[in-house]
Amino acid sequence: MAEKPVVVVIEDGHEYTETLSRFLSEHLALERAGSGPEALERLSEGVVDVVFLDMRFDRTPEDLLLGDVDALVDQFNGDRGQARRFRQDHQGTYVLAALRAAGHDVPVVMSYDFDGEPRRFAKLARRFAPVRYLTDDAGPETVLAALREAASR
Amino acid sequence: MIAALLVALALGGPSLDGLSPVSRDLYERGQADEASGALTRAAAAYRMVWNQEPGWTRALIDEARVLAAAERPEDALRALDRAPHVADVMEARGHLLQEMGRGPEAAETFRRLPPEWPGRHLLVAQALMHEDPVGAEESLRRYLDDTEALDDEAVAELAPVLVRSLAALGEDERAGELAEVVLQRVSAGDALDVLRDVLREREVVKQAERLARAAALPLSPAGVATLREARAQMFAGELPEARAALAALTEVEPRSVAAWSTRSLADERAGEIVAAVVAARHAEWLDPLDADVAARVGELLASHYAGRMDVAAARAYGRAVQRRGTDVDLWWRKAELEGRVGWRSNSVVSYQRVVALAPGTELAQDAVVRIEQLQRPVPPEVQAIDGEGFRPPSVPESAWRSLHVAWAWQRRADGEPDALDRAQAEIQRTLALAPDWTRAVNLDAAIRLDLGDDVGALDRYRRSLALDPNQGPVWLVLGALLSQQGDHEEAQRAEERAAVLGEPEALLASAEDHIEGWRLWAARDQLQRYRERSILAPERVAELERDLRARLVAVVAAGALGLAGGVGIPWTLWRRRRAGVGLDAVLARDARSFPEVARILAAMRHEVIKHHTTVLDAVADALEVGDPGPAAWAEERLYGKEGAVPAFYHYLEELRGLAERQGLQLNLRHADPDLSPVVVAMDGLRAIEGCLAKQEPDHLRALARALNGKGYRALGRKVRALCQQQVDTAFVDEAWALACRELGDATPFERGVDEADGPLVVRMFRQDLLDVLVNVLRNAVQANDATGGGRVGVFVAVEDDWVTGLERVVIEVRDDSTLRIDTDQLRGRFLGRGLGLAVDRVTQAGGSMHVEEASGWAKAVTVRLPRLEVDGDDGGDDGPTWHQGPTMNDGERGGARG
Repeated sequence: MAEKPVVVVIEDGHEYTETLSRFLSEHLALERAGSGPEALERLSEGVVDVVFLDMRFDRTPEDLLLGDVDALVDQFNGDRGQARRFRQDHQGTYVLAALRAAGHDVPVVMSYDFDGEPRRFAKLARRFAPVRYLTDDAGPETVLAALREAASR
Repeated sequence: MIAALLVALALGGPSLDGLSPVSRDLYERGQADEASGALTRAAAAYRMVWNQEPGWTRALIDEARVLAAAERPEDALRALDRAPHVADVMEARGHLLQEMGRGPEAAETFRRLPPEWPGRHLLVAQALMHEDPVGAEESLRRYLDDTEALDDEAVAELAPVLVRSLAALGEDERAGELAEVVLQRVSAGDALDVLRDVLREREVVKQAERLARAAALPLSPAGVATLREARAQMFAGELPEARAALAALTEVEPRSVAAWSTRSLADERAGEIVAAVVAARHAEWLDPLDADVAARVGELLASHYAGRMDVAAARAYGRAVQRRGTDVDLWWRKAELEGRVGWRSNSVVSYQRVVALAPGTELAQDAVVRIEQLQRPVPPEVQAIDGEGFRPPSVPESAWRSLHVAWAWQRRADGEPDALDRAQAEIQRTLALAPDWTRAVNLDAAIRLDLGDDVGALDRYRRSLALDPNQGPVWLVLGALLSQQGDHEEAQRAEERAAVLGEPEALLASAEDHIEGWRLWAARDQLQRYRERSILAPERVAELERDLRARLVAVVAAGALGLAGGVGIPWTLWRRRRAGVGLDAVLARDARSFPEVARILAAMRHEVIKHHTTVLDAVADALEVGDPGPAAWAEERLYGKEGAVPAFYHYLEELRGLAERQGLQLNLRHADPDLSPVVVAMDGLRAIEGCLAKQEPDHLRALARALNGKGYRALGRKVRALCQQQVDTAFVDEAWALACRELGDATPFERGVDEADGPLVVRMFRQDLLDVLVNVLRNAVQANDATGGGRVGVFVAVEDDWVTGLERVVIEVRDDSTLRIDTDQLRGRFLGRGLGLAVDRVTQAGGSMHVEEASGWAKAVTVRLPRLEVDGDDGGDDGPTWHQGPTMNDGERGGARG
């Protein structure tokens, strides 16, 4: 592990990156990927110690979203609008699955409130380990502790 | 009849006095023959009189009359033809032809009458009424238009026959217009009741025909796709695109209820209310059995016409409850509208239905109150209690009387244009008698104000205050006038003077000024003084108190006033005002609003808390070590154009608007225990805008705890609790029972619900889910019946999405029917009724419907809906948490704070 853990923040905006850079740049080497495909490309280039992964990607262009569009449209009775929103709202899980399918077993910390969905998280954790989550009311200090802990495993 | 007519004509003709003795003798012989029944001889006598006295048309008409009576109508006609151009003979000829059933000829004869002949057009109309109703109608209309003194009886006899004939010919519009004109012009008592009945009957038949013709058609698959895309566009805010798509869709497929309904919604959102109503009405005509469609028409008319269309709105809701008489919300709205239009008895009955349908609920209690108000006796007018009045000794009696006369004139100003002038003239007389009487001077000023003479009024008020400076209300009015004229400094001084004198309105304005200027103790004092003087405007007072309290909290937290030691704050000022309701009441009033509520609460969580207020702890830490940099950076995050604070209040306004649409006043701060802490904390955050860097770190941490810990979780709990519906054996049995009740069926039924890993809960309005299942069951039974019978089964299980980890509740309705349909057909047909409606509801709930294979059965119609986890851990209110996999362990909590 590098002196400062290399953290790739995967988010559709820049809020996490800006906040973490503002408060934690002396502790973490931060990089950003704005979509699943961008994240996959980065991870194939070199060492990453931990991934900080957002769940909702409603600002990412549709052609950069992962997930089987046709299957989702069918899942929503042909409603393309709902299918699009579903892909956006749960894009983090699609990215996680893609990372694992591509052979990247880097620890992932997801920013999402799984507190109300423990069964769901248990399944994701079994299928796509190692993964943990932070509820998204976490401030920079909490994020730092979680990322350090994940990177150390 | 012809005889009577001809008699009348004859008698109206020339008298016997002008005849020669021979002619008179012949005529009288004719009358004697007629009286003895010798009609032919009488006719001969009358003919001879004519021959003797050509021009004496009475003889001619009498000859024709007796010939007609002798059943020799052709001879009668020939008799009349001897003077074909004489008006009364022509009329007689016309009547004879009419009697002979030769209406058009009769009409032709009547048309040749001189233009000034009385009732010419009426005669034509009567002649044509059987053979040519349209022609008769035209003539009757001309008669009604051109004639002043109408023969009401004749018109009342003719009009109903004509209206019926026209309606039978399909000339409904013509018939209706004729009936309306006749009813306006003719007063013939009971005779026209027939006409009114005819009209009513005709309207009912027309309505019945329209109802029978009302047939919605399903959308084609392409239409379905277009509709869905348009809805998605609408909800994504792409309104022009959605409207264009829907306009094109209703053009191409004009008999789809769903297309028209959605178009109406889009038009309303775009502010095109007239178009929205038109579209909603189309939908209602296509589906006259759908209560929701009728209610939508009613709501549009009630909400967007400032009361002008309340009658039509009340009628629309009346139609809605006819179609769904168990819907308490519809009855409530109907009752409200009926009250608004003054149909008091109807309103009481409707509220009584609310009580009967929802006993013991808050709504029923409100309904009881309204019934009481509607039935409350009207208070009687009162007479003034006579007394002497309080005439100051220095004011002469004449001035006293004169002032009251002026005052009485001023009070008549609304209805009488010259009343104010009279008032002004009279008050000048008063002032001539008592020039220093302030009351008269004030009345003079008030009258000038009413007349629009602001300058004159200002002058008068100044004079009044010069006479008596201790008039608080006058200072207040003076201040308002000065402010209008742009002299704000002097206006301010006048208002302050009014406040000093204890004028309540001035005290409130002064308190507001002090609050804005952070003179908090002065504001507190003014509010206290206000309370001692007035109980009006409690909402405004409460709002000022809240603002004051928030600012005081901020000041206390900053330690600026050093209040830790215990300066007493009068806690009476901090009484909470509990007007308004919480979010649960809004959802109870309209459970179908849950998707919108969920969207707003989720947005508050993600857009306010997630990326913005989570930085407060970090800012506090930085301030503690003397670094104000993060605070400056966070100001933009929190208060900038896209900051957390404006975003939060924007969403709060959306929730308020949603509540207002239900007729409720939302008060999350005081009436919602779950969300109150979030609102209080956000108010506190708002109060320190611009001075984040000056705050005590602990104060920021307290706000962070309130928002990011408690607030975040409270919002999450609220979203998760919305509209949960468990699918269990009891629910399935209930749906089956309903389906059987409708069909009277004894189909063999099987069911199974797999709840091995917990209750199967979906987020869907209970009634909607029940409707979906009942519809699918009904179709299964009918499909079986169409192919020789069979079983129906309902099997409920769970399936899991590998990637997202989300689960879905899978409800399979299986049947034995060999009737084949596929998924596209299932989704494409009857959108708006039956299965199409089921598909629609499932889609709205984020689910899907498919036709699938089912082992041991012919097929299954499968409904999938997102499953909710109801045994999730809320994480407490301790702040952010993080968990690690691969196993979930409650003991493994960490986190730097909270």
